[in-house]
Amino acid sequence: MNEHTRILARAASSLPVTISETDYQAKGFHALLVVESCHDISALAQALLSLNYFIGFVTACHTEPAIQVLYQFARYDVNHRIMIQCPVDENNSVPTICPVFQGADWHERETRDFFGVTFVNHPNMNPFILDESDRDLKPLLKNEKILKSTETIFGQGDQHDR
Amino acid sequence: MTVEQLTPDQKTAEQHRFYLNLGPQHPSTHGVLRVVLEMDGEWVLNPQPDLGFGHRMHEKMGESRSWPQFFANVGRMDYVNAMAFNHGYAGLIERAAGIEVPLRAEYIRVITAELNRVASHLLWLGAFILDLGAFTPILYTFDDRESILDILEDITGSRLTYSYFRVGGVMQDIDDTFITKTKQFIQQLRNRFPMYETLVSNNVIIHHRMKGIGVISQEMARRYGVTGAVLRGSGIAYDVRKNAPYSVYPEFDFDVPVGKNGDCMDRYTVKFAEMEQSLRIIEQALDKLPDGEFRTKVKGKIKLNPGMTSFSVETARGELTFLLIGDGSDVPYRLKIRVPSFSNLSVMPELCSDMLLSDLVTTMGSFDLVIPEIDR
Repeated sequence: MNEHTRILARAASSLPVTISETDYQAKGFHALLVVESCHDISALAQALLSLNYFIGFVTACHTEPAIQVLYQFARYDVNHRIMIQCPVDENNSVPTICPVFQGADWHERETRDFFGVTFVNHPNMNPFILDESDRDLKPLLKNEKILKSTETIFGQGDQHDR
Repeated sequence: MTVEQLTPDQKTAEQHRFYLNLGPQHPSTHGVLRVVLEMDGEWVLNPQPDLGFGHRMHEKMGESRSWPQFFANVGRMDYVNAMAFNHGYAGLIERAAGIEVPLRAEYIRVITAELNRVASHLLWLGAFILDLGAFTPILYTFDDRESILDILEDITGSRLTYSYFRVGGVMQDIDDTFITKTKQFIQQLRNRFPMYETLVSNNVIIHHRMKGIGVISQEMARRYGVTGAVLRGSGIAYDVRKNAPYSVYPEFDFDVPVGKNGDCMDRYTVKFAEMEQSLRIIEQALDKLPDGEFRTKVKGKIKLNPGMTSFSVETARGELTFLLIGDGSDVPYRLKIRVPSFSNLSVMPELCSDMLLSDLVTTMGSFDLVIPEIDR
C-alpha cells in the first residue's frame, strides 16, 4: 500500500470508511474511500484537513438506489489524490463540510443545483449557477431509461485493485 | 430593530451603508460576473459573487453524446487557454480507454499548450495593468499575443477556441515554418521582457497598489482548494506539471516560481516569471522534437472503462480536473469538470471583506479570472 494511503487509513481507522488503493496510472487517483453512513463525512473532512489535504471538488452521480456524492481531495506537497464516495441518506441529504473546508460552499451549492442534494447545515442552500426559477430543475438527474445502479457504475473496478 | 431604536452613531453608520453591483457588465470583471458588494463608503464589507450568467451546462452536454463529439466543447470553456482544456480532455479519454500516444504528438502538445499559456499570461498582464488604470501595456502585450495566435492559427485553424488535440495525438503535424516562427517569437518576447520589467514590474505606483493587498495564507488556500499562480504566490510550489506529471513534462528542465507573502505583488511576480519558464520548455521541446507519427489511429466508438477516471492538468489559471464515470459505453455516464478559477474565486468573500473597493479590483485582477470557465 502507498505510504500516504497508509497514513490516511490510520487517521480514518475509527471511522466506518472502506479504503481501497487504486492504480494511479490507470485511474488518476491513489485511493477510493467509500463512506458507509454520510454522517461521518464531517469527521473525515476534519481528518483530511489535519493531514494537509486541499479540497479539489464536490459533485455527485445519480445512480440507483441513492445519489452518490463524490469528493476529491489532493495534497500540495506530495502527489496523492483521493476520491470519496458517500451515498445520500433517505432525505436526499448529506451533512455539509463547509465549516471545515470553506471552499466546499460553492461546490455544494452547485451540486444542489444540478442534483437536488441538500447539504444539511449549509449556510446558504440557494441556487447558485442556475437561476432562481430553475430551483427544482435538477438537470443532471438521469431519466429512468438510462439510470443505472450503484453496483453497475461503482461496483466493479474501483473497489478492487486491477 | 427599527431605525428609530438605533443610537445616533448607528444611524449614521446605517446611512452610509449601501449595496453596489459590480458587473455583470463591468470591465474589471473580465466577463459576465456580478459581484454584489455591501459597502460602507469606499470600504467593501461583504462581497458576494453571483455566478451563472454564462452557464451552458457543458457537463450535461458531455453526458449526452459520445466522447469524440464533446471535443468541440472543451475549447469553449476557457477560451483564453483552450489548449490546456484540449490536453485535459484528450488525456482523460486516453486514460479511460487505455490509448498510447506517440512521443512526437506529446511534444507537439507540450509546445502548443505552452505557447497558449504564454498567450494567456500576456492577455492577463495587459488586462490586469489596465484594471489598475494603466492603459499602455495592453497595447504591447496584445502585440506579442497576436504573434502567438498567428503561429497557432497556422497549424490549428482557429485563433482562440482550439480543437487541435485528438485522442491519440493531434490533428496535424507541425512544419518547419511553425518551428522557425516559434523560435523567432521566443526571441521577440525575450527582447520585450526588460521593457515590461522596467515599465511595469518596477513601477512605483504598481508596487503601492499591489504590496500587502489581498494576502492569501497557505492554510486559507488549502481550505478553499486554491491552485495555480494564486497559490504559488503564497509560497506553495504546487504545479500539476511537476507534482503529478502528465504528458512529457518530466523530460524538461523548468522551475516553478513561488512568492513569499501571498499578496497581489507576489501573484504578479509569479505569473510574470512563468512566461520565461514556458519559453524554456518550448525551446527544449523544439530542440528534442522526435520524428515519428503525430497520431495513432483510434476507432471512433471506443468503449470507456467503467468506474471513475480522473485526469488533471495545469492550465494558465491552476488545476483543471476532469472526472469521468463510465458505464462501459462510449457515452460518459458522468463528466465532472473542475475548473481552477471557480475555486480561486471562492476565496473572495473571506479575502476581500473590509477592503477598499479599488483594492478589490486589484485582487480580482490578480486572480486572472475567465468567467465562461467558471460558469461552464
